[in-house]
Amino acid sequence: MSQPIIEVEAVEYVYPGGDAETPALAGIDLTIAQGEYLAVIGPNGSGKTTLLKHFNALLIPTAGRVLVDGYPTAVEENLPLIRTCCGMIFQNPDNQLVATTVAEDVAFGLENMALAPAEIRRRVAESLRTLSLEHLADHPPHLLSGGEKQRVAIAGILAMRPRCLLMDEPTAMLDPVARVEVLDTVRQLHREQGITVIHVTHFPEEAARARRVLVMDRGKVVRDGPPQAVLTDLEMLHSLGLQGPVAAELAFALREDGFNPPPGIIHGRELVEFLCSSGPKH
Amino acid sequence: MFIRTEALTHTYMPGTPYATTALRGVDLELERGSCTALLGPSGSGKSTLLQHLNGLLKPTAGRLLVDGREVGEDRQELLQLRRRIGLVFQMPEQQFFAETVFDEVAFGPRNLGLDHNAVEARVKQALSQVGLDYGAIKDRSPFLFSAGQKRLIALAAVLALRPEALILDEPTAGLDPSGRRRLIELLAGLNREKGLTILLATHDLDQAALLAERVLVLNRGRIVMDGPPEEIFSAGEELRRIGLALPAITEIMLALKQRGLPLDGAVFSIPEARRVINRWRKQAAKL
Repeated sequence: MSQPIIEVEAVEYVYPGGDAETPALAGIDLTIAQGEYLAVIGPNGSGKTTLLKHFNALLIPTAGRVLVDGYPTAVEENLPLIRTCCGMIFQNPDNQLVATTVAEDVAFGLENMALAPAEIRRRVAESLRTLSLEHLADHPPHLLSGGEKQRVAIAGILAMRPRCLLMDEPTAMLDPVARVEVLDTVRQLHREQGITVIHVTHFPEEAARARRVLVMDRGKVVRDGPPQAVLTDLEMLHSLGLQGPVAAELAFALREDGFNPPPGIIHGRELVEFLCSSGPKH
Repeated sequence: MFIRTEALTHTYMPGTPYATTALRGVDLELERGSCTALLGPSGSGKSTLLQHLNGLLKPTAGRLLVDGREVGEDRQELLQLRRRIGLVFQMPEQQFFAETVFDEVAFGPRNLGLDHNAVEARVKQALSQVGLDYGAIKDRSPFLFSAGQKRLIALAAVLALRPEALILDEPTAGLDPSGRRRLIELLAGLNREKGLTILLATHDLDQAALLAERVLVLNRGRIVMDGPPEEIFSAGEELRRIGLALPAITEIMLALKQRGLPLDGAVFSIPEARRVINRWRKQAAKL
């Protein structure tokens, strides 16, 4: 396993004014290695977003500690380092856009990093190109569609060259094609630049893109494993009010009808292959 | 006709370099008691269209008619319209402001000038319609509920105005699967049992397929498809071309069809997919 980028040690968190009996995080131990692609699923209120906010020091543990690249998040001097290392994409892009044009918005974080103007221009152009936003560079961000706004927000984070991308339901407001575009961009960054991805999602199909899936419930990690194992444990998922990917759900149903698909089917193409190779000849 | 638009057009920031035409001559009729899903890629004009239907935005050309009457500029009429046609925004809970659930839901009825008893009756009824326990939650802060419950409280705040129609913009965005299911069942019930007219904009195709009897597809400010879900989702290529997709189960079944599974039309649910696959296997076993 390569170097850990995030270490979570016995972390508990209680929101100010919250009930200490039911903490938002109730004892979490977790290590995430540099270069992982991790999905976090769980019912609403299970602590997914709270955990994610600990990874760039938006929240500091009530007990225990979080280390980012070896630096404790509770130490204030570490904040600039931690926030450059871990960039966060939120669910609602409206809350993330600050400037009067798209290009200025993408440059905003860079200006705070005290980079040379030429370097800022270079990175902005590169980020806009990666997200296919060049044609909107001079547009006011508030007039863009939801999908465009989210891509601007991602471009702004990417321009800062984070080593870890924290995504909190980044596609909740996007249409299906924009959803795939954003996720394919993220996968490409993960593969080509080795960027670590931590992706909180309610969509089992999105979790199936990860290499490792965490399931949270009531402030605890209740399952941690590869998607082929976690996302096909439908009994566990259903008991939490969650669902598996459609391919896993259908494979499960067909097993009751006497089909015998191999374990670990989470993608539609795998189920199609199985049904066509072992199914009836025609 | 209950709600009708004629050549509805909307341009944002007209006369500036940033002028953007979001709707281009939309003709739409919504019957009373109908349940319709509005699909469209990001930027297609869905939210803009919804905000016209209760008079929140004014068309820059064309017009809106409700029960045959043109919606004009009269302030009283517009207020009346917003009560009759309830609009539930994206992530409505982000607009919570009151200290208690009661005050949050009572805001609309109080603005109608109703007395305390009438307001209380409406708050009670609205919270029970969304399946929440009035007595247990009325004095609690609306901010301290789970995402799913907040969404229900926000819906109750609109229902407390006793609207004839509900217009919802991405009502299930950000909810977990059980929260999504609960909300969809709730909307289906309000439509079936209370006769509430429903129009919802959504990216969740499974939701559209299961809930709506009619699907509209908006692209670049125009309605480009209009029909029952079976018909719309049989046009996979066309949907993909404009930036939409098919429900995941429909995709799997189409991939099987290309490999020899006999199939007419589109499949939206796992039980139906299961029936079709089993029939396929039995037929082949007989040969």
